Amino acid sequence: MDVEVAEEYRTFAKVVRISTIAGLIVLIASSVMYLLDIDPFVEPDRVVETWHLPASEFWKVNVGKEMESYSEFLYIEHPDTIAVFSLFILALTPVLGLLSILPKLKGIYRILALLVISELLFGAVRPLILGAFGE
Amino acid sequence: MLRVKIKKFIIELVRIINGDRWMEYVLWLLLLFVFTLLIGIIAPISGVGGGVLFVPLTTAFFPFNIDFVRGAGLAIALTSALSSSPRLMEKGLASLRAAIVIATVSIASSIVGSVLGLWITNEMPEGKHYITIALGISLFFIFAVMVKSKRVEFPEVEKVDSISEKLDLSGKWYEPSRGEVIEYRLTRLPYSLPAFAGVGLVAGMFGLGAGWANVPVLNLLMCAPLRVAVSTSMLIITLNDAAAMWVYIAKGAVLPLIVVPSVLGVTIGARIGAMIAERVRPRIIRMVVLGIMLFAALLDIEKGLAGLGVV
Repeated sequence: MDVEVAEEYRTFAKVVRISTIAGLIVLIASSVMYLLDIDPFVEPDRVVETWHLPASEFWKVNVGKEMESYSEFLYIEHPDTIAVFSLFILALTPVLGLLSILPKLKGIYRILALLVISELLFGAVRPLILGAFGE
Repeated sequence: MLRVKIKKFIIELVRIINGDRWMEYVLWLLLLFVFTLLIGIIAPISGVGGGVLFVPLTTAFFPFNIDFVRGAGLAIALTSALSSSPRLMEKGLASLRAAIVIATVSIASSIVGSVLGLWITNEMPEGKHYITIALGISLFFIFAVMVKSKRVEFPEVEKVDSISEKLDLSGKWYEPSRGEVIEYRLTRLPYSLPAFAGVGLVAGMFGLGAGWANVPVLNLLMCAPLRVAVSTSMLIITLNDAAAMWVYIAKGAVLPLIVVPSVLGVTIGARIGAMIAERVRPRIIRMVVLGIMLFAALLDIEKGLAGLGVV
C-alpha cells in the first residue's frame, strides 16, 4: 500500500525512469560495439596503455589534442563517443524531469525549480561558453 | 608498500595471462567488473555508498589516472541514484521539495568542486598527487562522520523554523514495519544549506556520491525520518552529480572502458547485496567496510606522498 503522492512527483518519476532506461540502453549498446572493436575513436588497447595519464595528456597522446568543451562529440560516429554522449543524456535527465513538472509547480517552488534548471543548464553549457572565449 | 605490491601483482597477473592485446583489456575489464561487483554487494549491507568505496580503492589498486576514476565514480553515483529515485518518489519517501531547495546551493558548489579538482590534476605539475592525498584526508573525515553519527529512525520535531514552515517541507509515506502512514516535517533549513554546499564541493572534487553526508544532515539536523533522509539524498545526488558529470565529460575525463564495467558491477552487486542484506549481520559488515575505508585512506595518502617523493 502506497500513499497518494502529488501529480508532479508522479510525472517527475515517470520522465526520469524513461530517460534513464533510454540512456542506459544506449550506453550498453554502444559499449558492446566498442568492445567488439567496431570503429572505435580510441582503440581499446591504446586506452589500456595510456589510462594512467591525466585526461589532458591522454587525449594529446591519443588524438593529438586536448578535449575541451565537449570536442569529443565532434566524433560522435564512433561507439566510444556515443557511450560518453549517453552519459551526457543521463545527466540531462533531472533537467527533463524538472521541465516536465514546471507548469504543475506553484509559487516559490516554480521559481526555485527554474533556478535549479538554470544552474544545471549553466553547468552543461559552461564548457561551451568558456571554449568560445578561450577559457 | 602493500598497495604497490598488490598493484604490481594485478599488473603481472594481467601480463602473465594475456596472450594478445585484446585479452589484456578484456582481463582488465573483468577484474574491474568483479571488483565493483564486490563493492556493490557490500555497499547496501554496510550502509556505505558504492562511490565512497570505489574512488579511493580504485585509485589505490588500479593503474587508472585519478581523473578517470573520479569520472567513473560520478557515473556510478548518478546512474544508481537515477535508477532508484523514481520508485522512492512514487512511494512518497523522497521529498522533491526538499531536494529542489537544497539543490539551489549544492549544484553550484558541485560545479565549483569538479572544476577545481580537474584544474588541480591537469594544470598543476604534481596535482594528481595532491588530489590523491586530499582524497585520503577527506576519507578520514567521512570515516569520522560515519562512525560518530547516530542515526535516528523517527526524529522528533519540536519546532519548525519559519523558512521551512513557509516552504512547507513536509510529506508522508506508508511504513510497512508499522503498518501505518507516517507524516513528517523538515526543519532547520537555514543551518543545513551551508552544510549541503560543502558536501557538493567535496562530491564534485573527488567524484564521490554524497550519501555519507546528505543522510546525516537530513536525518540529524533537518529531522527527516531515516528512510526519507536516504531517499531524498538519492534525489539530491541526481541533481548534484549531473552538474559535476558535465564538467568531467567536457574535459574528456570519462572513459567508457572504465565506466561501463564499473556501473554494471556496482548495479548488479547492489541487487545481490540487497537480497542477502537480511541474512547477514550488518553491524559486522559495516565495521569491516569502515575498516576498508580507513585502509583506503591510508593507501591514498601513501600513494600521494610517494608520488611527491616524500616517502
